[in-house]
Order: sequence, then structure tokens, then C-alpha cells
Amino acid sequence: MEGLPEQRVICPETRSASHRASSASPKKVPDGFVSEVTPGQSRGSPCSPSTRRSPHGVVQPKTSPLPGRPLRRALLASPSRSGRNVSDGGVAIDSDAVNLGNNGGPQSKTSRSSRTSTLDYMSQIFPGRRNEINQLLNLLGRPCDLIPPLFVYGPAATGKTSIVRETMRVLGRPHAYVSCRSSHTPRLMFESMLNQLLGHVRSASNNYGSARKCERLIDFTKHLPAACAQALSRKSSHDARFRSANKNAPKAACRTSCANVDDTVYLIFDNVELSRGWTGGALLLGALFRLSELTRLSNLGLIFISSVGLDGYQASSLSREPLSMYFRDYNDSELNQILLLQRPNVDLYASFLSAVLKTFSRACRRVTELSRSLEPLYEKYCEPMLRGATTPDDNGKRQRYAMLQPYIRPALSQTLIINSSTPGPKRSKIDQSGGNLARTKSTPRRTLSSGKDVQDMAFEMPQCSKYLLLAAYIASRNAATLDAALFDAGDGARGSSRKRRKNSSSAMERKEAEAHEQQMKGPGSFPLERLLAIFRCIVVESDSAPSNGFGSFHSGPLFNGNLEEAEGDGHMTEELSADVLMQLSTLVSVNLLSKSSTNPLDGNARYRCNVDGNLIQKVARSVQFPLSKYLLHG
Amino acid sequence: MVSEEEVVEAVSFLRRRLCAAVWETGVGAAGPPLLPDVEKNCRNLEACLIGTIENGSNNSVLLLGPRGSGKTLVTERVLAHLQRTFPERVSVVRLNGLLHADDRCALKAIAEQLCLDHHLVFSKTAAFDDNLHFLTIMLKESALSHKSVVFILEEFDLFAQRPKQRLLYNLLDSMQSTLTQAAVVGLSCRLDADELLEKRVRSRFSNRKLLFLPPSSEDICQLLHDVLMLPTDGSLGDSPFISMWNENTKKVLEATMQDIIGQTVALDPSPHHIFDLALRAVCNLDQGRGLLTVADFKAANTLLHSQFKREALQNLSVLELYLLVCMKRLESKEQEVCNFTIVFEEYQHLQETHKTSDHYSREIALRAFEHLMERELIIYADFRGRNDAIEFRPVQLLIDNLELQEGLSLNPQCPVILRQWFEHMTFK
Repeated sequence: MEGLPEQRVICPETRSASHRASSASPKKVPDGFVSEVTPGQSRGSPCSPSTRRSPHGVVQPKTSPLPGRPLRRALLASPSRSGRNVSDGGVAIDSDAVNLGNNGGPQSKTSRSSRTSTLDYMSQIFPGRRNEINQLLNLLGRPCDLIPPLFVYGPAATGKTSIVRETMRVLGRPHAYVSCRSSHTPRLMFESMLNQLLGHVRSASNNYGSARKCERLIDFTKHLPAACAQALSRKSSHDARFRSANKNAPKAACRTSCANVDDTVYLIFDNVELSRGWTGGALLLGALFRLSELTRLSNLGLIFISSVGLDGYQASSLSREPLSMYFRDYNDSELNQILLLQRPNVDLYASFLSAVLKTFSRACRRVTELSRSLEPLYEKYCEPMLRGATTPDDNGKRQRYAMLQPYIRPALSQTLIINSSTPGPKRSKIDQSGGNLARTKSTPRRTLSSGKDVQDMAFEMPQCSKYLLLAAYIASRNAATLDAALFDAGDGARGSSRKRRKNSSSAMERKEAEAHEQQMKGPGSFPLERLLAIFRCIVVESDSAPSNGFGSFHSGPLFNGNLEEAEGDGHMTEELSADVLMQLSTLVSVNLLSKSSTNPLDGNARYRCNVDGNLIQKVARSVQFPLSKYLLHG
Repeated sequence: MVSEEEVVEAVSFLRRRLCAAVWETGVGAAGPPLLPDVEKNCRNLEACLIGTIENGSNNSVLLLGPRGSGKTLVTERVLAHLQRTFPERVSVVRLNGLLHADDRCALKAIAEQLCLDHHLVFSKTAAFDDNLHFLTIMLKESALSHKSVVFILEEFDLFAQRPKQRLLYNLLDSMQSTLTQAAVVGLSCRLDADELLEKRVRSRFSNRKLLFLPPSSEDICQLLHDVLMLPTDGSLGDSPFISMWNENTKKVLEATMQDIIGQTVALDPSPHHIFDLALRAVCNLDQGRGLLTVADFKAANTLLHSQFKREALQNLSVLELYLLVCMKRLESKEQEVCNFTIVFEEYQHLQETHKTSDHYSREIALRAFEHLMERELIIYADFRGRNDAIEFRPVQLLIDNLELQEGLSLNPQCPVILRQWFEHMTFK
């Protein structure tokens, strides 16, 4: 705590100098550089910029595909996602519970020159954001300047949160930060904010309790004035301590950095677009926009950060529109600049980027996703280096590009979709599809599909489940009227073919188109009875047709003869009520099937199959089931 | 040469004035001047409240007007003035619909504020009935000591939207008694706020309404002029800089009057809107130069009137643009349901017929589709089936033809083929 202010001092000159050094030569970034940028981060998960030198002086990244912490911290990752502010949840990670910031940096003097140096320093860490930072600094003004509510918005990964928080830190303004993502109820939000303002750290000694109990907005408005006053007084005592520790501080700095009671206290609300989903969220947001009016505090600086523009809110009915500030997406050259930052071998990476970035940025412009999906490709690019080549010249670049060309497309489709597993060349097939499964669980809205190159199923499930899944797939892809034709003994198919002959060709086409359209609208839903009926049918049919190659899986240790096999499957059909329903509920709970109502006693619940074509083909193959025979449209 | 210190002081002063919280600076010179219409309302309200204080006539008034038209400013000024002219004879209870719409909360807040005013001890645990009882007693006691209670109800419409309107009924009912001496002032931006009242409440309401109409553009321009002038009465010192600033600002305002200010006023004639413009311009001020320029106003104007959809469209990746155009085409084909699978089929159809270089796999397209969803350029058409796969959930496009066209022409990356494909939407 005592040593903290000194550690936080950031001198823009040395900062930029070391930065230039790092970008001009492939030298390793000095360690001090890293620790300077991220004072509050020492307690995150251990993740060092993993680089090692090859004998030829070329630095190549280790297989760990996570971008180094400095990169993540300084450029793209907003702090809320890099584990820095677990403090909203409870335990404050910043060693100062209230973010008093430092005041030894360029911000101490209010003169114009210091403002420009802050701007320079900030745009150094956040390339391509000079305009936005300039705007923000303009609007913030001096510590005692009032500021109307500010609404910062822009697409994801454009540096909104990082820039706002870093600006606060560099300018040394007292502020509290809360994200609607981690503080997912109004109560958590209010209490976290008050904790930060009051300097209260939740710990075992206070039983992880908050400083103030704050259930509703009205409580918050009552506590806020005192909390703001305390934050300001702590700020000034912090300043005093800092000054005594640093006697050489210039006089002007002392005068202006001394917080007086009228200074603005900033409250930063992040991810406010999420609050729309809360009960009474719109009302709450409208009230927050007018917080300084409600609390009768004029020195509140309210900053809202959102990924959705103001037109996504109906806030104008509840309050005046706040001043909005837009963070646009990065363009190609800015993306290039950002991805190059903190790279050990800048020249090599630049030539790599010139080869691939154009293709990637046409599909995806989000810097977080790009940096991750480019990683495995870069390793491929570096492969010739391992064999002794040096940084390529123009000709070599062209060769390298030709070599890389076939990998670009697959890499694009492979890596952009995986976000929970860590991509890398050493990842085995099982790993990869395991990652896929994990992703599906975390975002249950997508259909489950396993990786394209994987021929087998990536995970095992009971035989009974597989048949259930197949039955569900058939039930949701076929119309219910078709069941009789498919599963009725014998003449169902003949009947339909006779019908077909009767229809004129145009009517047939129309019907086909209709069916196709139906198909596009997604899987149909079906009642439990239909699922069980189809299940029974397909189990019996595949049972009675050993010519389908059923023998192959029966040759396993459990099934040694035809008799036993018949018994096994017969067993399965008879015990429908218990085992099969058990499996069914398991399938629902892993979201392979979805159920229309969550009520377990609801008999009318309809099911839907969430499995896509690729996966179900694999399932069918694994039990040697002729799926295509049962599907009307492929 | 302008001294930097002075510029900083001036900017600070103007910022303070422009975003001044009304209750604090309402009395001081720093507060923004009033428009003529607002001034009239101010006098009416004052007369009405003076009637309560001096003659014991229990009044109720509604101040109605759009956001930012000065309702709160007027109320606070009048109250400040009354408290100065009749010290110890007015006690003010402030309620806000955003905070106290709940009856229990509101009564608690009333009791708390009255206790504070009369130096009584407020009990947090008091029940609703206790508080109500306390309120009636307090009203009587106040009347006996010739002290008036003024209730300010901000966001009056939110109080009126509560079931039974109990609080409003209780307050307005107590106005009917000769034993009390109180006034109710309601502020609302809903012009039909009095229509929301129940019959039994409306019959107790005195039907006094003060309307805050949008001012004329001349008035607004005059207001802007007044606000941006630095005071010459010596509160900021007597340096030549002040007159220099005022001269320059006058010139700049004349130059920008036609286009920028006219445009701003045409969009929203409320004083607050023009203050926002002025604030942005003042923030943009280059402190080395020290004086406002036309360019500052121009920059402020573009920042103030940002167009969310267009900005988003300008920065989309090529694939995302393709998907949007596909959706637009499907919409023009009058397809009633639209989901990712259908959009992707349309996209593939285009790729097959034109063989462009932007042919991406389904997974990438789905990711791009999700990005569009995050930007809220498209949304789910219904809230049913939250568990269903994203590919099949019906979606809706939130941009219209014109916006998309503009976006395509502004996007630097947009391929020519896509533009053509969009323009000939109905063919092929």
C-alpha cells in the first residue's frame, strides 16, 4: 500500500521511449514496462508473455495461444473480462478499494502541455483511438468541472471500458466502476459502488459484507452523498501522503491535485445494455441518468458504457438524453497496428499480417477474435524459421504467402468459431471437440455440431440415448403425417408412390418447395408419445435387420451372439418407462433436446431436437443406422 | 495574447453554468437566464404559492412540458425565493416518481423530510399507518403555526400510474380541509398527466396547469447568446479578455446562426438541447487560442447529432454486409419468417451465381450473424423458444432500405457486386 503510488507513476516519456524500442527491434520487452502498465494486475491468473528465443535469434511464440498479458491488458481486453475487477463481485482486486488513481503523472498540471502529453500517452497505448481520447479529455475537463451524464457506446472490443478507466487512472480522478455484467442486480451494483467509494474491502474479517445495505435506488441515493464526500476526503489524504512521499513534486501540481469538496466524483456504469433485461430495468436506467438530480449532488460525473446506441433504449421517455460518445470500429491499418503491439518480432509479424489480415478482416473485425484466430496460423507461418530461414525478404514473403494460402480459409472457419477452447496445433481431435461441447454448453442457443474434420463422434453416450437422439431427429425433421408411411408395416411406401404418380409435376414442385421452406424454418416440435413410438419402431427395425451391419457393434464384449443381442434390445424396449425416460431427461438437460416447458409434470410438453446434420450422421454411423432411409429430405 | 489562466477560468465558468444543477445555482448569477414564457410561468407559480402561504388557500398546480423545458428550474427558483421572503413559514417536501412511486416509500420520505424540517426524531420502523397519521397531524400543527407545507411531486405521471393512486388521493384530500395549509406542485413531461387521474382524485385537484411550451427560435438564439456571454459585472475579474471573448462569441454565433443552430433548434427546441450544443462547443475549445470558433460549433453539431445506425453500418465487415443485404432481399420477397438458415441459403445462392471472393463457411457466417445481433441491427422476432438453436430462431431486421443503402455507399470496404445486388433487389 505504501509503495503503491510510486509504482503507479507513469512518465509518458519513458513509456513511449520503451515502446519505440520495442517496436523498432525484435528485442524482448523489458519487464519493468509490463509491471508499469498493469499495477493492479499482479493477482490475476499467472500468464506471462510466453516467448522463447530460437537459436537463430527469432522469437517464436510458445504453443500457448493466449496473447500475452500486456497485449490483452493494454489493447483489447476490457478489464472486466481480464479478471481485473472481480471487485464488483466482492473482493476488491485493486489494492486501493476506491480507485484513487495516481497523481504523479502528466495530469498534475492543468496546463495545456500536460493535457497534450496525457493525450499522447493515452493514444500510445490505445492506437487508433486518438479522437475518442481527445473527446473524452475535453469533456472531462478539470477535476472541479461539472459534467453532464456521458453515454459512451460502440461495438465490442473497441476499448470503451479500457480507455475510460485508464483515463480516470491517469488523471487521478476519484471514481467507482461497476459493470452490470458482474453486478447483475441493482442491489449488487449499488453496494459495490458504495464499497468502492467508501474504501470498504469485503474480506473474511467483515464476513464479506458490504459497507452499506442497499436494496433499492432510494437507499442508494440516501447513502451516496456521504460516500462521495468520503471518497473525496480519502482522495485528498491520499494526495497528501503522496506529496510527503514525493517532496520534489512541483508546486503547481500540489495546488491543483489537492482535492477539494467540489471536485467531481465519477460513477462508471459498464454494460448498461444488460440492465434492460432486468425487471424495472428501463426505469432504473432512466433514474440513473438523472442520478445527480435525484441525489441533489451536482458534482457527480456519470459515465455509462454500452455496446448499444441510445436508440436501443427507451430512456428518452424517462430523462433527457445524455451526451453520447461513439467508439467506432478499428479500420484495417488500426487493426494492423494493434495486433503488432507487444509482438516480439515486429517485422516478421507485420509481413505475416500483410498476408492474412485482409482476408480475415473481411469476415470479422473484432480485434479479440482476430488476435486469437491468427495465432495458429502464425505458428504455421513461422515453421520455415525453425528450419533455419531468417526474416524473409520480398521474394521470400511471396513464397511464404503462397505456402500459407491453402491454410487461410480453413483457419478462418476453424478458429473463428471456437471461443472457449484454446486453439493450437497440438490440440488433439478429442480436445477440440471437447472444446466444442463446452462451448455449446456455455451458449446453449446454437445447435450442437462437432468439428468438421472429426470423423467419429467426439463423445460417447449410451446406446439407448443414441437411438433416442435419432428418433428425435427423425421426429423433428419429418412431418407427423409421414410417420405412418415410414413405419407402418410394408405398404406405406407403396401408397405414397402411388400418390406421387397422380400429382402433376408442378404441384410436386410446389410441394417440394414448401417442404424445403418448412425445413429451413428449423426443426419441428413433437410430443413425447410420437418420439417414443418412433424410438420403438427404429429399435425394433434395426433389431430385425442384421444385414445393416448390426453385427459389427454386437461383436463387442457384451454382445456375443444373436440371441443375447435380441434380448438386449428387447430389454431396452420393454423397460421404456424407466430407463428411456431417464435418458430422455439427460438429453434434455445437456440441451441436445429442448423441451417447451420446464414443468416436469406437464404432459403436453413438446420436444425439439437441437442436433445438426453433421453430428446426427456421426451418431447414426456409430450405431450403423441407415438414417437417410427415414428422412424425407436428406 | 490571451493568458491561459483566464481561458481556463472562463471555460470552467461556462461549463458550470451550462450543466449547472438547477437547485444550487438557481439564485446565483451563474444560473442560466429564463425565457420570457418560462418567466411568466415562474410568476404564476409564485403567486399561487404565495396565496397558500399568506391566505391559507390550498392550491394544487401541475407544471407540464417536454423534457428540458425548465420545469424544475422554475420550481426551484420559486422555492428559493419563497424561502428567502418567508423564512420559517415554508417547509418543502420533495418527492420523485422515480424514487417514491411506491406509496409506502413515499409516505416514509414525507415523514422523514418533515421530521428533518421540524427537528423531530424520525423512526425508520414506523408503519404506513403511523406515517399517514403523522402526516395529518403535522399538517394540522403546521397550519396552526401558520406554516405551509409545499409538496413537490416530480414525475407526477409515475405517481398517477400507481394502482388506486393512494398517495395522490391522500395528499389532495388533505388539501380540502380548512385545517391544513399546504400546496401540491406536480411536474410532468406528459401533457396528459391530469387525464391519468382517477375521478375521485381529479375532483380534488384544482385543475391549475402551467404549460411550458417550446420557445420560438428567436428566443432560443437569444438564450444561447446570453448563456455564452461572460458576465461583465466583475465576478470574473475585469480583464480585457472578457470583452474580447464576448465580441468574438457574438461574431461566431452570427456566423453559425443559420445552419448549425437552426438545425439544432429545428430538431428539438428545448433549451437543454441548445445548452448541450453549447457545452460541446465549449469543451471543444482550443485552450491555446482561447476563443470559440465556428469549427468548434461544427464539431459539436456532428457529435451531438450522431446517427447510431449509420455509424454501425459504416464499420461492418464485408460478410456482415452481405448478410444484411440478404435479409433485406428476403424481406422484399415478402417472406414472412426469416432465420439464419434462410439467410445463409440466400447468401450461398448469391455466392454460387456470382462467384465472389467472399465465400465463407456456415460457421463464420453464423459468427457474423451473432455480431449483427450484438449490435442490435437485427433482433429476435419473438421471445418464445429461448432454448432453441440460434440458426432457426426467427429474426427481424431493424434497418430500413435507405439506411442500408447509405451504409453500403459509405462503407469503404463494400464490394461493387454487393451494391449492384442490393440495387436490383427485385430482380434475379
